[in-house]
Amino acid sequence: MSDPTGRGDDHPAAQRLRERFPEAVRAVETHAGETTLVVRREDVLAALAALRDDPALDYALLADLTAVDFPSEPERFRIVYQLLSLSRRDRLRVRVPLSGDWPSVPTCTGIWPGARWLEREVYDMFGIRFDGHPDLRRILMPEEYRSFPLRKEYPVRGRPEDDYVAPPPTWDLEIYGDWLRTEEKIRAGKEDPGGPGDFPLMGEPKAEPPAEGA
Amino acid sequence: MAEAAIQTRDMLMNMGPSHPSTHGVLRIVLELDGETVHRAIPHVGYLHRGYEKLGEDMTYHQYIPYTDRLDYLSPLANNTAYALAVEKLLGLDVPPRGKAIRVLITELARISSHLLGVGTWIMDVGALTVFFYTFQEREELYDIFEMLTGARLTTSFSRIGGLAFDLPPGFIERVRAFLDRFPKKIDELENLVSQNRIWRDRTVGVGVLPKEKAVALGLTGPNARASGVEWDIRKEQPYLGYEQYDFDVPVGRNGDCYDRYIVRVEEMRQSVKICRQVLDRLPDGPVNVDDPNVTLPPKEKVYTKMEELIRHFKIISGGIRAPMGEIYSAVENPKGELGFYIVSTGEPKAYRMRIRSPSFVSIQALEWMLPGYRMADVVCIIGSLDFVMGECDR
Repeated sequence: MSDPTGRGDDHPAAQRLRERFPEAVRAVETHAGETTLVVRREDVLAALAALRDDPALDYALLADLTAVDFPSEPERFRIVYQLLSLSRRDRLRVRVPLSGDWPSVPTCTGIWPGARWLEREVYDMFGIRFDGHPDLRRILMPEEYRSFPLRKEYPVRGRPEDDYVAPPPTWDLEIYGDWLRTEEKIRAGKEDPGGPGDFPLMGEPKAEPPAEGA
Repeated sequence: MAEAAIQTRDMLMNMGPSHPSTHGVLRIVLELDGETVHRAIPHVGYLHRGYEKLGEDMTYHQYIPYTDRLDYLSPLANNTAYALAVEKLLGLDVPPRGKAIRVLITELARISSHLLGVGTWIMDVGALTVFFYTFQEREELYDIFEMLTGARLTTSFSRIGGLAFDLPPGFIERVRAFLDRFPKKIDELENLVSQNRIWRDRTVGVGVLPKEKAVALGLTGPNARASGVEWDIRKEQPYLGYEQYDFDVPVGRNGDCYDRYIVRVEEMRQSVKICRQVLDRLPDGPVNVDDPNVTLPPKEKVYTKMEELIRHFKIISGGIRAPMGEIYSAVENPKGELGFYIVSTGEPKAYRMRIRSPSFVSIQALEWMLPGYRMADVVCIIGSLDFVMGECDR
C-alpha cells in the first residue's frame, strides 16, 4: 500500500502545505502517476481550505470523499478526499488516517457544500462521525438500520438481525417533522407549527405501515 | 392582528419514490407554500444494492456485469470506465484498435443516454411527441448494441485488457448508416422544441445554477458545463486517445434548464463527429492486450488446446492479481464524471471498490436548486439534471 519513497515531495501541493503547516503533511506517496498527501487529522480542515483557496493550487472541486477500513492496522480508518483542480488540470488525493473503532473527523461541508451527502454516505457505511455536519443521517440504508455495512467485519451477505425492521407508524413525522422545525426556521420568524400530529402532511401513509418488504 | 388572521402554514408534500417523473426511485419531500417550494429534501437509497461491498468479494472480471447496472442507460460507457480503472491498477495499455472501439461504443452510449434524458424530460414537461422522435433513434442504437454484444442493456462488453470480442461483420456499415441519418433527426428534434415558446417558457431562467455553486457542489459533466464550467475530461485529461479526435465541448452560459438541454443536444452532434472519425481511421490489429495472465484465450483454443484450457481456468477461477496500490480513474460519462477508486492489497479481489457516481452528486444539488420555484418546475428541474438512480444508489 505505502510507497513512502518521498518521490512525490516535489509536488507543488505538498511543498505549499509544508510551508504553511509544517506538521500537517505526514507523508507524500506517488503511485501510478497519482499523488497522495497523508494529512494529520488535526490539520485536515486547514489543509483542505488551503488546497482550495491557494491560487497556485486551486483544487476547487471535491470529486469524491470516501473511507477505507483496515481493521488490522493501528490507524484503522482512512478518509480519502479526491480533489480536482480545473484550472491546473490536476488531481490530488488527500488521505487522513484515523485511529479507533469509532472515530470522528471534522466536516468539510464548510469548504465544499457538496460534501454533505458524501459525508453522510461515509457515516452510513462506516459509522465514522463528522463533527459539525449539519445533517448527519443515514442516506442509502434505512434510517432504522443498525449496522455499518462497509466495515470489514460486516459479512457480504448481511446479518439476519439487520433484516428489514418495520418502522413505527409515526416514522416520517418523527424524523422529518422535527427536523424541519429547526432553529433556523424559528429564527426566520416563522410560527412554530405545533406538535408533530398537527403538522399537515400529504401523500404519506398515516395508517399502519406495510408488514413486510417495502 | 390582521396578519394573524391570514397566517399560512407550509405544507409538506411527498413526491416519489414511485413518481413517473423522478426517473426511478427518487423521493423528494417538498415544503410548499402554496405552489412555491420553500425547501426540498431528496431521499435516495431505494435502489441500493451494495455494489461497493459486492466489489470486495469478487474478482475484477466478475464485477463487469455489475457496472452495466450502474448507469443503466449507458452500460457500454460504464463497462469501459471500469475496465480502464482496473487497467490503470494493473498498468496495462490496450492496443489502438481496442481503444478506438471503446471510444466508438462510449460515444454511441452517450448519444443513447442523452436521447433518453432529453426525450423523457420533455415528455415530463408535457410534449409527448418529442419522446417518440428520440426513442425511435434510441431503438436503432439499442439494435446496434444488441448486434454488437448480444444484449440491449446488460452489455458487459469490456474485458480487463480489452473487449469481449472484435466488431461483428456488418457492424461498421450499420453504424455508418445511423450516423448519416441521425444529424437530420437532431435537426427535427430541435425544430420541434428549441424555439418552441412553451418549452422556452418552461426552461429559460428555471433551475439556475451559477458556475461557482456548480463547482462547490462537485457537479461534473453536462450539468456543470451548462453552468459555464469548462471541464470535459475527454479534453482536459484525455484517455483512450481522445486527443486524436477533433470535437468541441459545448458550454452553457446561464446554467438554467434550457442551457442544460442545449448542451446535451450539441453533445450528441459532437459524438456523431467523434464516431465518424473513429470509423474513418479504425486501426487494424488486436483488441486485447497480449498478456497471458489477463487476457482470456479465444474460445476455439480453449476447446482444442490443453494449455489454453488451463489458462482460461486459472484466470476465471483465480482471478487477476493486481499489484498493491490505490488508483482513482475518472472518465467523462454521459452523466458526468464516473470515477472508480480501487484499493488493492495484492489479492485477486479489490480491497475497496468505490464508485464515484455523478448522479449522486447531481441529486444533492436539488436541495439548492428547487427552493423558490413552483411545484411544476420541480419536474422540469429534475428532468434537466438527467440522473439515474441505479448509479446514484449503487
